[in-house]
Amino acid sequence: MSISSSLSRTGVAAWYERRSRRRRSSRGADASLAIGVAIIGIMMLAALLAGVLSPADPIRQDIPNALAPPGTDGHPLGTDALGRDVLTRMLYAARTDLFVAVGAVLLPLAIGVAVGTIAGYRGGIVDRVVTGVVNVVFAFPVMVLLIALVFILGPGIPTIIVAVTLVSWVSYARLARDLVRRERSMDYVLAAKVSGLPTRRILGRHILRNIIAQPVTFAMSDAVAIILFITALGFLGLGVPPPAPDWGTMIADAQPYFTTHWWLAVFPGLAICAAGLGLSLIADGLSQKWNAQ
Amino acid sequence: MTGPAEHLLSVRGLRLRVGDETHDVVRGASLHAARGEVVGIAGESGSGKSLTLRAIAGLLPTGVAVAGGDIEVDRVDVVRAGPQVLRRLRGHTVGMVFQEPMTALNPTMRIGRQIAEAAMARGDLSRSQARTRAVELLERVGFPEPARRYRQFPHQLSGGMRQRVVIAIALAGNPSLLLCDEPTTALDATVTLKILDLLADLVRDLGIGIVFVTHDLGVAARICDRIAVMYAGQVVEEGPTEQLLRRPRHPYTLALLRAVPTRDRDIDGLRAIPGNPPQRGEELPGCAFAPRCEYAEPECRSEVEFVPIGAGRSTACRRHPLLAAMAGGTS
Amino acid sequence: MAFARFFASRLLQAVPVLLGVTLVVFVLIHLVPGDPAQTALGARATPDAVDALHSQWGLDQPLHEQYLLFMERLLGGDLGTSLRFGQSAGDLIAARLPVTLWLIAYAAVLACLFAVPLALWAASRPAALRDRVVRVISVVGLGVPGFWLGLVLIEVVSVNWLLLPAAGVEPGLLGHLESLFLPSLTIAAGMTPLIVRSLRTEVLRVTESDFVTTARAKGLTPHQIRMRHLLRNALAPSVTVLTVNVSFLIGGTLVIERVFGLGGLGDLMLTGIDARDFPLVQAVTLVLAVLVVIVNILGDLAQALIDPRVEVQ
Repeated sequence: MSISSSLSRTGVAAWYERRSRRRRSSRGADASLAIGVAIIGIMMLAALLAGVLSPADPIRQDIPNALAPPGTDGHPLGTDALGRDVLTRMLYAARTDLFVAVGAVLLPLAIGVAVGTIAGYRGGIVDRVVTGVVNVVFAFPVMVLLIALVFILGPGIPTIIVAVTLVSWVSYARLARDLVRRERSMDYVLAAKVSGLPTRRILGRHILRNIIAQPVTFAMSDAVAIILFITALGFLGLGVPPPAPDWGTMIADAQPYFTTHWWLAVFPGLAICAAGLGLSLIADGLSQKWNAQ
Repeated sequence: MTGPAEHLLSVRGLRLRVGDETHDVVRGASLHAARGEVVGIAGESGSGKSLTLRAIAGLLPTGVAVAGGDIEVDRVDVVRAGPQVLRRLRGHTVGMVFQEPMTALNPTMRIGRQIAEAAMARGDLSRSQARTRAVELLERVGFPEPARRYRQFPHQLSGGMRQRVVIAIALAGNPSLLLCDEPTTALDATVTLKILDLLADLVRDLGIGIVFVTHDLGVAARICDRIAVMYAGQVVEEGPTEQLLRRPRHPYTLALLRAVPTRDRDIDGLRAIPGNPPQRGEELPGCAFAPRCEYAEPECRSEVEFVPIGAGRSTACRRHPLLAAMAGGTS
Repeated sequence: MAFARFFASRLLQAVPVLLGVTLVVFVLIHLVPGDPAQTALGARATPDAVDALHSQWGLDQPLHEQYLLFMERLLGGDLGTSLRFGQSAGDLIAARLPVTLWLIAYAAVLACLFAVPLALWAASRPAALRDRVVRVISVVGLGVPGFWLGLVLIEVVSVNWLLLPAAGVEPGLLGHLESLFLPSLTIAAGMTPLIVRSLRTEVLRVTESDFVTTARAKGLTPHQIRMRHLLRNALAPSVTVLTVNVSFLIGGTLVIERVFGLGGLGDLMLTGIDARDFPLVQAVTLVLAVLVVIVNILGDLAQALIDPRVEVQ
């Protein structure tokens, strides 16, 4: 396509503005993505290698050496009120929190996109029912419904993943539904229908492939929120049951010691911030790349 | 140097550059307009005609800058003017009508206020005087019951009516020059004719000058006294409408005319222009149209000059005598 | 009048959503693994006490009967009876609601005070240094956990600098403004990045729209263009952004109330959870959801007031 034909009607000026914005943003997007992937990659690696990297046992108590400050021999980040090594617990907590987050992002993504795609493509009564359910779930503040569900279902990792899924599939469903509805009326879908392709093939091969970028981008920014939700649940005592470590629980345990032993609360908090930053950089980079297209 | 006294607008050798690029998008365009005169700028998309127009009002989009040449409007040097002088110029001397009446109006402001606001920008009207003036202007551009229409929002109006509001805004500061950027492109054919009639009335009644950018030679023929044809950032031919369209002295004008359907020529007679316009940034020594031109000779690719050829006409084609010889080449 | 009609239709749209909300809240108790009455009373409860609770909650009746009973009570203004307090859940909620509403409103105002100038500043020179700075701030801010930020703020501002109270609510307007400042700031810090992002995009979209060029062509000053043309047009979508985030805001107050020891709805809900007080948890969940629905309606109305095109749809 020649440049001049892409200029039709909108003119040189608009073309220039779009192009220069695209250039600038794609440079920024690449940087965001690279840094974000690096942060998350390192954290994931550290979590996987927790057993090798950590200097101690995550749940072994050592009361005589409790509340040791950072830099103490064998405890680079100090020990907590029960004498457990903070660094070790943080590494194992990364394992729990990141693992739960992955599940709590992928499951709603898959379910939401599937339900939304079907609702958007079928339309009619299916669409109306799905839209109704989505609107109802949207009426609840996420954290409130999440807390209620975790409370009702009882503590544990599966509970958290199920509760997050029940709450957050609706965002994906709404997004996918709207995208599919727009896509459905396009010529290539009509062409596929006319040529007699089965619905499953049309949805999978054609529509899904065209719409999937947006839900995936959204999933990355949703992951930031999910990490915060999971750790907040832990902080409220509704997270992973003890003694398994989790950043939120660590902060809750450290609360009484904040004034005297700040590191107990600060390091796990910084770990959450780092995970949040990495994920939101990835989300930022992806969404900019997406916008540029 | 100031232009001849009767020149309301004079553009000389205007060069516009886009951002960090090394080639200009407008490459030495010249143009002039007097009071009571409608001057058309015709050309394809991307020829630089809209940018030239926006440069006249000092409204170039971000990233586009004047790289050379002069623009003078009513003895104001637009290229070197500061923001305050430009603002005064826009409020007093120059009005602008845009292509898309759907988006050129603020959707959350009543149309009357949008006109009154423009009237007040001049600085010599009180709020209530501006209101009265806005109602007058609404009537002037063809609104029945202007006082009631004053309170309407843009979304309550049709495209044609919105374009009338845009014209009323442009007129609010009592400008002597109206810049129209494809004002009828987004409108239906019948509405187009009404808007063109309105603009022609304004020229007759108010004695203003109009620069009218369009890609549609039919529209240009209807309203313009003179037409400048632009190609690849340059004016390639200029002259009084009638002569220019009947006896073009540039192969590009000729080619444009052959691409327009008329009553005497059926569809088979239409001819698309072979090839594509030059890519942005392409080196263009000589005539930019030469690669697509059926009359081009080797010299065309090395040198080009915009020369007067008498009867108020000018052309950039070296071979204009040949075109003159093919008398009545088009119709 | 068109506005009244818009209001009525918006209210009507909320009815099925509210019905759905009651259904979800009703179903909650049936999701409890095992016998909810037994769970609530603990393992050592006598069979008689469990049976009594069964009949009190209507668990011995068929499901649809139970829902009808639940709705009948609700419409009669009965939100159930708290096990822990032995009091009407409605009364408990009414007593705690003001603190939570204060927190929500205060946080929303603070968030706007930060977000609006930041977004305008960033959008005034897209891709320039200031724009990138604001973007970095919002990307970083997005990942900071509110409960942790609250603890840090208490430590730094209240404990070290002795500036503001660390916990509890002081009486009076000034007392409220002072003692709720840190918690509201904490919630606002979480919301600001979200608002800045969408607002920046909106302002840029409006800045690039043709009518701003029209305004410039009129000879208006940059200030006049900003005040008369940019702001109002960027405001309508911002209201949407704000209402969409209200759900986030309310969730935030829940956790932050715990951090700062404020006795609001969040604290009530968590107390209910600690006591396995199902009716209380249900009641608070219901009230908070209804609050979201109300705020959404108000947001739509505000939008209709700002943008004349909304009523027409």
